[in-house]
Parts: sequence; structure tokens; C-alpha cells
Amino acid sequence: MRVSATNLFKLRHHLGALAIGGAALFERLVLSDPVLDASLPWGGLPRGSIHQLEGVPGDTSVLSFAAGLTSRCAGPDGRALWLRLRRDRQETGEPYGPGLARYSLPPDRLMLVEARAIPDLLWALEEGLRCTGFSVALAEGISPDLTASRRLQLAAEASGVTALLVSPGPVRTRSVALTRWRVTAAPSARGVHRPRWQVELLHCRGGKPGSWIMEWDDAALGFAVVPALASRALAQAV
Amino acid sequence: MIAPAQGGLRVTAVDSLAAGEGIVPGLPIADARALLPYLAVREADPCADAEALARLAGWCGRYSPLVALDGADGLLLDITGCAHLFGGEDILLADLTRRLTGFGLTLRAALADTPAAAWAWAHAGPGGVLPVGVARQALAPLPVAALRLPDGMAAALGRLGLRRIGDLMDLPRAPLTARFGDAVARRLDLVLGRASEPIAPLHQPAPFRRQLAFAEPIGTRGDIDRALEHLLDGLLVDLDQAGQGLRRCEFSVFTVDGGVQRIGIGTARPSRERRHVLRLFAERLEEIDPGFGIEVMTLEAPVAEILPAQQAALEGGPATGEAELARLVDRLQQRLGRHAVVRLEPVDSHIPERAVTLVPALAPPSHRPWMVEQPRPLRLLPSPELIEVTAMVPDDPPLTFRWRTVLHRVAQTEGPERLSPEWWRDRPGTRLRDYYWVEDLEGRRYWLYREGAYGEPRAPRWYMHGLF
Repeated sequence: MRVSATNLFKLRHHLGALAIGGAALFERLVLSDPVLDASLPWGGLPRGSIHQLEGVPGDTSVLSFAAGLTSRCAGPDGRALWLRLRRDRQETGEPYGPGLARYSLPPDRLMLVEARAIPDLLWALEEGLRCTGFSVALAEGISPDLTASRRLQLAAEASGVTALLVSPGPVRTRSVALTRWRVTAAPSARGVHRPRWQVELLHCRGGKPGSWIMEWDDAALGFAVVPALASRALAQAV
Repeated sequence: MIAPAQGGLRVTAVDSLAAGEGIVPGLPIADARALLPYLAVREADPCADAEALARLAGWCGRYSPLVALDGADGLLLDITGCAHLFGGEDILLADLTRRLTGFGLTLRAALADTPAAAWAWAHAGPGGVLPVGVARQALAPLPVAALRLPDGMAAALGRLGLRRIGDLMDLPRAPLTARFGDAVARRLDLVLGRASEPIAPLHQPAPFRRQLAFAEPIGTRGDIDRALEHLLDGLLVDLDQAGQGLRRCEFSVFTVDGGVQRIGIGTARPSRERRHVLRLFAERLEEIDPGFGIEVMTLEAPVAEILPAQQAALEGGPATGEAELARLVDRLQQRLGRHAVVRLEPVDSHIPERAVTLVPALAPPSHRPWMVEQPRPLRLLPSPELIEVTAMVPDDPPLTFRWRTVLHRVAQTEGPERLSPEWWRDRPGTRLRDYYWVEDLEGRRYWLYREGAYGEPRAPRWYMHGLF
């Protein structure tokens, strides 16, 4: 019997949903690059679930990648919730409006929340995930353990709000996040104003890990994968 | 009690024993000691007295919302419409006296038709309830000092043989006013209720208020919860009838030992949702320490706004996005603080740190987009950090820089973008900034600036300001 690609995709999709106990199929979010979307088993990033992003110490690129992802999740008229720890203010700076403009996050659709301690942040995140007024909730500076991540996942599933959990360094705890990414800076080949990220998909439920160099596409307001060969050739040419 | 006064230390207050020995306030300390060598003397502390009086005023809120300070040692309660809650004026006054005496205080309490009459009855009369309509006869034998006349005027009246209030009542007013100004006539009017005297309450009474007094003090969390729900139900009925929704709500508990504890909540939009308000309070009810028991509770809505009656969504049913958002903001603010839940708003300024301001999360949107001519960083450091920079030529972009002890080698730069100080806002001498976009060898991107220019008397300095 010949199994068509669509059927296989549907089956995977279904199994993915069953694997974490949710009855509904995930609505997916297209990251706008066909190469990237095709390498995720859902054909994009599933909404209504939690995703982890980690950086490396001394490199805040993961935050700009997360901002791009937040913008994709929010779309043209969704609201975003951005949670931070107060003590990170000076360390990583505060979200800066004019810089957010590039990722198409207008001022009236982004709510900023500052917590003093991690338990408060987790509580606020869970409250936010239960509120259908948001499309996406981004939390900086946390990597919840299994129990906490399960709570968050259940809240996200019920409301359909996507949660992005950003950790400044490597994540050491296990969680139920569907995907885990490591983002570092990559030298830009086309000038300072065309940032690039080295993006590694470390963990993906039902999918294979991968690694890409990505750029932010200002016109499409989405991610674009830079072909590995081209990036090297260009980098050498510059 | 003694305090420094004109001509040295003088007695300011005495207890009943000392008074019995002839010691009166105003006496120099030396004279007092001569009268009574073993007199125990303490220094007066007017600040602590004032604080204690203010605390006591807070406690008196259990009897009436309108409590005013009266001089340095008096309290004035407007109990209009409150007495029946305690079973009548006599019982209220007796209850107040009993409780305050129980706290170890010595007091004189009086209840009358006007504040001035009550003052006179408490200070110069026997105290207690002055029955309605007999004020004239009852006050007549009191000395004129009970009218609270300006300094020296009572003595001046005394020299004319006018020693009792009754002496003044029958006099024609014109000569009295001609001689003493209108103070005497006015005070007389106030005492007799012919003129009204406003009192200045410490706390403006809330437009919506509910109170609950317990026959037996309560203390368990379950009882407090139930009592609060009961109060809230009543308050919501009042609000509903007035077509208003609460923006702030204050819950006060009065404990047996004379303490008052208050917790308040706020909402971003006017609300009459029982479940929501209870949930906001639930976060903070643990702070209440019932001590030996709670006797009285009040729930007030000091700030309310118009909220037209509407078809209420079934509780727990699906809510609209906006209403749900408002409830979320309330909960977040309740736990994290009012300034922890915000959004950004553009400001017209080319100085980077002034181009943004924080506004309440649910402030109406201005729909102004970000004004961006040149790329700006995603993150801005609240205070720019000094960095060490090396460059080929002083005016050149940096080759390497050291930030937070890490040396970064620069791969590419762009700039400078020159930002001059805003002369209408900055202090004279503020230096201009040249901003550079810098990428290091690893691809990490930064926004640096040089403050000042070469050739100025002060050498320029480099700062890290933003991260991409």
C-alpha cells in the first residue's frame, strides 16, 4: 500500500497530539520559510503548547529570535504578553519599543509584566496562558521543571495560547515542551542591519533535530533560512 | 508630663492623683516640685500622642465613617444614622466608653445635637448623652470657657460678670458683637444649633459602604471569607442600584484589641463581578491577623465609576476577550504591584531613552506607531555602561571593546549616527552622542556610543547602550 505524504503527516500530527494527552489537534503556526516548516513534524510550530528557547551566556541573540517568534505568533492583530524578571533589567536590558517595531510588535498589542521572583513569574505566566485575550506569552529567564511545565502546557492547551520560554543559558531540567531550540548569534554577511541567528533544534517531539542559519525577513515579517553553502560563500566574499 | 515652654519647663498634663494635690497644667516644674517633692515627671511626646490619636481615630471608624481629630486630644464622631446599628445613642456611647476604658484610657465622652454642644458637655459638663431639645437649659450653667472662645475672651467676659453660658444667652446680640466681635455670638449659635459647623473627617467617607458587627468575635479564615462575601453582596447591590462599578475597594477589620487592619484592591475597569473581586481579595486575605478576634468589618468602595447595567454573562461562562484581559490585569497587579503590568508608548524625542514611556496596561491606545528612521536595538540598558574602546584613529569606529570584562573584537560597524542633546530639556554641558552599530566576530550585535568629541577639553567616553 502506498502511503501518501499527506496521510503520513496527518497521522504524525495526530500521534503528536495524543502523545501529550491533548484531544485536539494542534493548530500550527507557519514560520514562513518552507525549509524550516517542512522539517517540523507539524508542518510549522504548533500553537497552544510550550516551546523552550535557550541561549548561551554572554549572547542575547536568543531574545531577538524570541521576539521574531512572538511576532509570528501574534500575527497582524493578536496580543502578546511579555514577562520578565526584575533583576534582569540591567543584565539584558529592557524591551525597547523602537527596536520592537522591526519585529512588528506595535505598542498597544504588547503587555509587559515584571516579576520579582521566579514563582511570581511562573504564576503570572500561567494566568496569562489561561487568558484567551492573548495569542502568545513570552517568558524570559525561566526553565521550569517537569511539574511546572506540565501545568503550563495544560493551561496553554486549554486556551490555545502559545508559550515561549526563554532561558539565558543551557536548559538542564526536563520538561514537556514540544520543541527546544538553541539560538546563538551568527556573523551577518549582508551588513550589520541584517542579523543572523545560528538556530539548532535540540529537541522536537516526533521530529528530528536540525540546525540552520536564519535571517529575519523584514518584508514577509518571518524567518528565512540562509542556505548553508550560500552563507559560507557570501561570508568569504565579504 | 512636662514640656519646654516660656520660662522653662512647665507641666502639660497631670493624672488625677496629682490634680488632687493641686498640680495643674501650665505650672512651672519648680513650683510643682515644691508642692509635691515626690512628683513623677515624664517628658511629653506630642508626636507620639498625635500618632496614637490618629490610630484611635481609625479604630473609631467602627462606629461611624465620619471621624475627625479635634485639637490635640479630642475626637469628633458624626454618628448621624449610625446609632441604631448599635441599639441607640445611649448604648453606643456606653459601648465606646467601656471599650476605651478597657484599653486603659481615661476619657470624657458626650453626645449632643451639635459638635460644639458635645464639646462643651464633654469638657465642662458631666458628659453622657445630652437629650434632644434640652441643650439650652442643660448648657446654661456651664462656664463660658466651654464655648471654646479665643484666648483671653473668657476672662474678659468674666470681668463683666458674664461667667456662665446662660448669662450670654439672654443678652441682646448687638452690644455683645460691638464689644467682642462676632466670635461670642457665633460660638453661641454653634452650641445651640442655630448655625451649622462642618467637621473635617480624616477619611472622606466612601460613597458605598457596608458594615458588619459580630455578636461574638470571629477569627477563622472561613468565617472571614463568609463575612466578606456577605458584605460584598450588599455592596454590589448598592452599586448596581446606583449604576456604578467599583474601581477601588477597601476591606477593614476591627479587632478586639483596638487594632484596625485594612486591605485594598483595585480594578482596571469598573467592576461589579462578585467572583472577580473575591478572587482579588483572596490573594491578600492571609495578611489579616485576627488576633483575639474580629468584632466589626467594613467594606467600602471609595472610588466607583459609572457602569451601566448590562446583561451579565453567566458566571464562569465564556467571557469576551477584553473583559477577560481586564480581569487578568487586575489579578497581575494585585500580586505583582501596580507598576509591574504596563505597556510601552512612543514619545516624541530623538534621545533613545526618552523615546519610550510606560503606561498602564489598559490605557487607551494612542495608535501612534514607533518613529524609526534608523534601526534601533531590541533591548536598551536602563543605564548605559562604560566600556573601554580601542580605535585606529581617535575619530574612527572601535576595533575592539571591553564590556563586562569580556574583550570583543569588532567585525563590522556602521555609523555614526549623531544625536545632539535636547537643549530645551538637557542641562547645559550635556554632551552629544555618536552612535555606532557594531558586530563582533561571533556575530553578536551591539549599540555603542561615544559621548563627546575629540578636541573638547574633556576626553570622550564610550558607553554600551543597547543589544540587538
